[in-house]
Amino acid sequence: MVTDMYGTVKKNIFTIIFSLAVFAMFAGYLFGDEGEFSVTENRYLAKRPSVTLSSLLDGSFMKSFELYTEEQLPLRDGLIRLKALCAELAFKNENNGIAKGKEGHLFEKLVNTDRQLMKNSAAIENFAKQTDRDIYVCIVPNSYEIQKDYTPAGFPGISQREQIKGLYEKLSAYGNVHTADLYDTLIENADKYIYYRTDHHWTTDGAYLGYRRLCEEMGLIPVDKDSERLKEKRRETEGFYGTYQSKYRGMIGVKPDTLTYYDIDVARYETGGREYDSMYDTDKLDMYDKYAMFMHGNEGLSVVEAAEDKVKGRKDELIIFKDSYANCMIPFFTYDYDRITVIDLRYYPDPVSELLKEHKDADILLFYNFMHFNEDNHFYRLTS
Amino acid sequence: MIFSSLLFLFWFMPVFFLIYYLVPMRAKNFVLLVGSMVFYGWGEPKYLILLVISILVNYLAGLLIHRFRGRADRIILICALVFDIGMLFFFKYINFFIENINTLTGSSMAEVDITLPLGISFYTFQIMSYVIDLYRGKVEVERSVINLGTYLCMFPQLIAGPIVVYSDVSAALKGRKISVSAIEEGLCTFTLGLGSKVLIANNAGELWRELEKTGYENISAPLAWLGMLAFTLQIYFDFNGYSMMAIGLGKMLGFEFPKNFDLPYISSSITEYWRRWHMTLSGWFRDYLYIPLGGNRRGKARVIFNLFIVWFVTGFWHGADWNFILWGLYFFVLLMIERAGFCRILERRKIFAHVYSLLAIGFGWMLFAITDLRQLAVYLGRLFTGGVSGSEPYYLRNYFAVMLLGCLLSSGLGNRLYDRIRKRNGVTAVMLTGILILSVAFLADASYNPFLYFRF
Repeated sequence: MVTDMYGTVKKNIFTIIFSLAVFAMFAGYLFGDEGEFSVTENRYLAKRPSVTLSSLLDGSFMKSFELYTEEQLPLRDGLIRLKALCAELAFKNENNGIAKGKEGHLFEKLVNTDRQLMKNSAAIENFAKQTDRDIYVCIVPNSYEIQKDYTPAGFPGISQREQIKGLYEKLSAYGNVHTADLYDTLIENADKYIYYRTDHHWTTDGAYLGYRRLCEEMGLIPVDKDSERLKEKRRETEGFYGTYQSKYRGMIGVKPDTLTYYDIDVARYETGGREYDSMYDTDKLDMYDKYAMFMHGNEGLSVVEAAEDKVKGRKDELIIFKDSYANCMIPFFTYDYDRITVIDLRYYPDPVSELLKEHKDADILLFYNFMHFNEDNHFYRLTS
Repeated sequence: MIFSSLLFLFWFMPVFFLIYYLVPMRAKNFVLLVGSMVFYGWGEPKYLILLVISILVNYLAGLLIHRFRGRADRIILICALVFDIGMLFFFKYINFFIENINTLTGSSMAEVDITLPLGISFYTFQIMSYVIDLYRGKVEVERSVINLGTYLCMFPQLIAGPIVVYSDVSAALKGRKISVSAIEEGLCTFTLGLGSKVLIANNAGELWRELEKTGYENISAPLAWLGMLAFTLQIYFDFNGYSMMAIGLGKMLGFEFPKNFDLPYISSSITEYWRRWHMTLSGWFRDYLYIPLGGNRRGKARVIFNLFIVWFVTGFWHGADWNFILWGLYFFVLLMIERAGFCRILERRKIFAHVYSLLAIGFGWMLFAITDLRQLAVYLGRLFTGGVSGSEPYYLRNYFAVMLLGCLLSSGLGNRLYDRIRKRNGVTAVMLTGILILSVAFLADASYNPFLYFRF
């Protein structure tokens, strides 16, 4: 009898394993704690939706339920890491579109331009046509384009330099548009720590290079970051893993980044309708997404009122239309402008034309990284 | 819903099978019917009604054919077939015809705003097998609408085959035994199918998607060949994976579904390939189209004509677009050449025969995969004139492992290995558990998990 039992169990051992696994996961969904926020992915997770007749009929319940099963999968984080490990063991150096190059550098792959790129470039042209005010345009190439020595062998990425050149050539038809090409200055410093290894942003040192090049174009005298007054404001935080790593998830040979910022004072900083006495949200330094410390993250409208000593040739006002690449560069501009208005078109619902009317004499800067410029679909709002 | 999803594995499976195994035999068909409706309706609630109508119409036709046997059965059969094919035509092909008539005549008929009901090509063929076989006297009339409904929308084979004809399962519908060892066997087959789809097909397919994103005009010759191999592996492991999952689930329910793939890529001719690829579809066309047309009994010219019809329809069945028709006719031409004597050469030169077959299959897949004929021409051009781009080492490094595994498994090595360890339950269980865990891990972080048969 006992041997019989043993024989049955042995013969059907996989049924037992499979059932245990499936019912354990099912129980995990039913009784486990729902995770609210994924720290590594820096986003809120879907919760179990409740059924209503209308959501059942139009199928939206099914969609949100499916999303819930994906995002609240028991052991999700461990399983995702297991997948990344498998990829590494199979000699892959890419996972979820992020490739690991030399010395722990991660890169995002871009094999073709998006259809949106043409629309965005047309949107900027339309913006230029609408006004005779001076407009400065700067598109920053992403890390793979500059740090070619660190990309993996055969890394397939389109030439961002050519795309940016193409845009600038189109814009050269407008007398009021001034473009700043960062390629040369960045490539000269390609071996320095100007892009994060594990994040899609550039470092504050990279941003400083961009700032200097822009000052040249805008007729400003840049503040010297090696001067005594800035040197003493330099702060560093180690152990930063960024957005590339939260997609890549492999552990072999990935090195954490060091985040740097200059603790520059402001008279007033307002963002997302709230006032702060600093442009930096240092609480974020203890969290996963440390880059969010710059400018307190991305909001539709932010206003900086400078407190720093004037440098020569200081001007009154600047309006920046930007993405998050600008967040670690804007502090430098407080040495050149009394007031900086920062607009993130993704979150800014009001008409831009009204804003420009209010700030008649402000300089205008459009500042984006290439990947964002390639795919974001809010540029049409420039002419709103 | 699809099998290779967390929703199916961790919600549908435990809830459905728990109920299914607990209820007595006479209630099992009803549970299976309701479960299948939930499975189908999950993604396509509005098209459930089509499925129900199809069941009712063919059920009624069946009763009438039986009732008026010898008097009006032929006309009733024709009505049922007109209805079945008419539904398929309307929902799958109407826009294709409107579009082409517009192009040809310059008219501007508006296209109908419909999406293709999931699995309509599969379930239409299945239900047709019932009324036709009933008319032919091959099967008994089904008096229970629950049983017929269960047959038609049984979830394992509902959306992506295998095409199970009514006579395959009519006995099991009326009564079946479900043993623990059948469940064990079913779960093993299911897990192998899951791994096939999630671990091999999805990962190989990622390269194909990558080339689509890059744009065919930008890819180098080596990459174009690599892409062809990637798609060839993806479609086999995807489709066969689905079939294996279906067969495994069928076993767990107490049904025996027919085999659908038999190592197609080891074929040494296209004739042999079509005996090994999607066997239930070829079998259906043989029994319900080729033979009724007269098969090979009406002289040479008629055989060629019959085969032409069969391959035209086979191509068209796979999707309402010209490239699918082209794909079907491409095989018609190859089969004709092989019939005309090429077969004898292939028999004598084994290595050449395999190389020829694989290349012919690979080219065929390009016709299949690229629906835009202009893009197809670009791709085929790149195969020979694409030059080298420098990105080849990157793709080789990232895809050689999955491609190598795919090649080895499709050569039959995996089957031999599996047969050898099968009797040692411990080893099999460890391997299958590994496949299950890895499949779930890859589903947990699935950036790419497509359903390829939405055009069928």
